[in-house]
Amino acid sequence: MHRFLYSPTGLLATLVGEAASSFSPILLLFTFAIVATGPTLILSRMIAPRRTSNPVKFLPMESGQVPQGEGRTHFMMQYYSFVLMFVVFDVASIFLYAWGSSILDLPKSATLPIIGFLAIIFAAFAFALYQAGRKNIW
Amino acid sequence: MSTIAPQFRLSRFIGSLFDLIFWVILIFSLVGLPIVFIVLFYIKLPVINGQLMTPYLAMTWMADPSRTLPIVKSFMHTTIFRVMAFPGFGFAALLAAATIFVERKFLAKMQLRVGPLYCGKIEGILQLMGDGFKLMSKEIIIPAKADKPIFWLGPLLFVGTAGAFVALIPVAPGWVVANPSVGLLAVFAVIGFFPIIAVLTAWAANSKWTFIGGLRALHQMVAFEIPLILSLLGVVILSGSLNLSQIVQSQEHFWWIAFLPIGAIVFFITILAELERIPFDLPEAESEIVAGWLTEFSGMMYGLIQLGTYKIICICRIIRGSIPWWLEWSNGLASVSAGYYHSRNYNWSCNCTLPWIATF
Repeated sequence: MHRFLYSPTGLLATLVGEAASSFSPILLLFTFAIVATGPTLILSRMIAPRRTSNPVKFLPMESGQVPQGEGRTHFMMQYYSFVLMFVVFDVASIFLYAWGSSILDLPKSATLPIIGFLAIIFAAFAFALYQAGRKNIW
Repeated sequence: MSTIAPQFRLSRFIGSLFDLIFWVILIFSLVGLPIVFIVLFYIKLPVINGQLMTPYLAMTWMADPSRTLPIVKSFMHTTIFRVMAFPGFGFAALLAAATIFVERKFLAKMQLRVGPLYCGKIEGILQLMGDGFKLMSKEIIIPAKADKPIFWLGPLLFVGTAGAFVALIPVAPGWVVANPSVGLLAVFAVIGFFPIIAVLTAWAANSKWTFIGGLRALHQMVAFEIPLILSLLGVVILSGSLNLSQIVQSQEHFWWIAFLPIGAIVFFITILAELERIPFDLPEAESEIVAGWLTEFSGMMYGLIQLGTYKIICICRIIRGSIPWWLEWSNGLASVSAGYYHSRNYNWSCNCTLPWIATF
C-alpha cells in the first residue's frame, strides 16, 4: 500500500480515507443546515410584500440621515501589533496542544524544552507589549 | 330545496369520475412505477428482521403500522438521522428555540413586555411561532450598492457553519454526528469561520455601520480566540485526548473544573466575547451602531442569523457543560449543582433532552 494512503499511528494503522470520513459528517451537516433553512428565504420572498420601489428604502441605514460617501470606508484601527502577537500565540498554541495531548506519554525531560519555548514566547510578548506602550500604538 | 347543484348531470359526474381515475392511473404508471423501479434497482435496501425491505413490503405497513418499528430503529442509527434529527440539526434547532423562548421571557419580565409572557394564553408559547411568521412575512430589503450574492449567502453560511459546529458536539455516549480523533481542534477550526462570515457580510452590505460593526466583531472574535484555545489546554493535558467524547469520558469521576477553576472562568468569559453577548456586545452596540454587522439584514435573513447565533449559544453551553468542567455521566451530583450556570446539572447518561429543557 502506498505510503500516502497509510498513516501508521502506533500499532493501529488507520487509512487516510477513514480519518477523512470521520470529518465528512461535518460537511454533511453544513450542507443540510443550508438546505433546510434556505427555503425559508425563498418562502419569505414569496409571501412578503414587495411594494413599489422607493429609492430611499434601499439606502443604507444611518438613522434617517441620507448617507454620504462610500459605505466601505477606510480608517485606522492600529491593530498591527496586536495581530502580530495573535499570530505568534496562534502558532504557539498549536505546539502547546501537540505537547499537551501527548504529555502522558512523554518523558519528564520533555518538560524543559516546552518551558524554554514558553519563555521565549512570553519574552517576545512582553517585548512587543513594551514596544506597543512606548510607541503609544494603543 | 334541493341540495344537488342545479346544473348537475349524472352523466357528467360519472364522466368526471372516469376522468379522475384516468389521471390517477396515468400518473401512477408514468411517475409512481418508475420511482418504485428506480428504488428497486439503484438504492441499496436494508435488510430488516431477515427480510429485504422492498417497496412492496412497505405497502404492508399501511395494514400494520407496527411493522415500521424495526425500520425506524435501524434508521435511527444511520448518519442521515444523526445529521437531520437527533444530535444534529433538529435537536440543535429545538434547543435554540427553547433558548430563545426562555431568554425572551426573562427579558419580558425585566422590560415589562407583554407578548412573551401571555401570547398564546399559556406561558407565551405562541410567541416564537409568531416571531417566525413575522420575520418570514417581512420584506427583505437589500441596500442599493450591496454585493448581492455575498449578502444573500451570509445568513446561509452562518447557519451552515453553526450546523457544522453542531456536528462535533457529543450529546450522549455514542451520540455524536462526527467523531474525529481531533475533535477539539475541529471545534477551533469551525469557530475560526465566524469572524470571516461577519466581516464578509459587513463588507458586502456597503453601509458604514455594518462595516464598523463587522470590524469590531472580527477583532473581538480574533482577540478572544487565543484565551479560548489556551483555556482548554489544561483539559487536554488532564484527559490526554483531543477527542471530545473521550474528554467527556475522562470526567466520569471528577470534573476537571475541580483542578482548573481559572481555566473555567477564562473559558466562560471568552465564550461570552465570542458570542458577542453582554458585556462584550461592542460589535452590536445599539447606542452607537444600531445592530453592528446585522444592521442591514431584514426579515428572514436576520431571522436565519439569529437562529445560527442561538444555535451557537446552545453549543457553547453544551461545551461549557461537557468538555471542560461541568459534566457527569451519572446523575449523582446533578441535583446538587443547579445554579447560575445553566448546564451544570446537565444529565449525560439517562435522558438527554429533558434535563436540557429543565436547566436553561
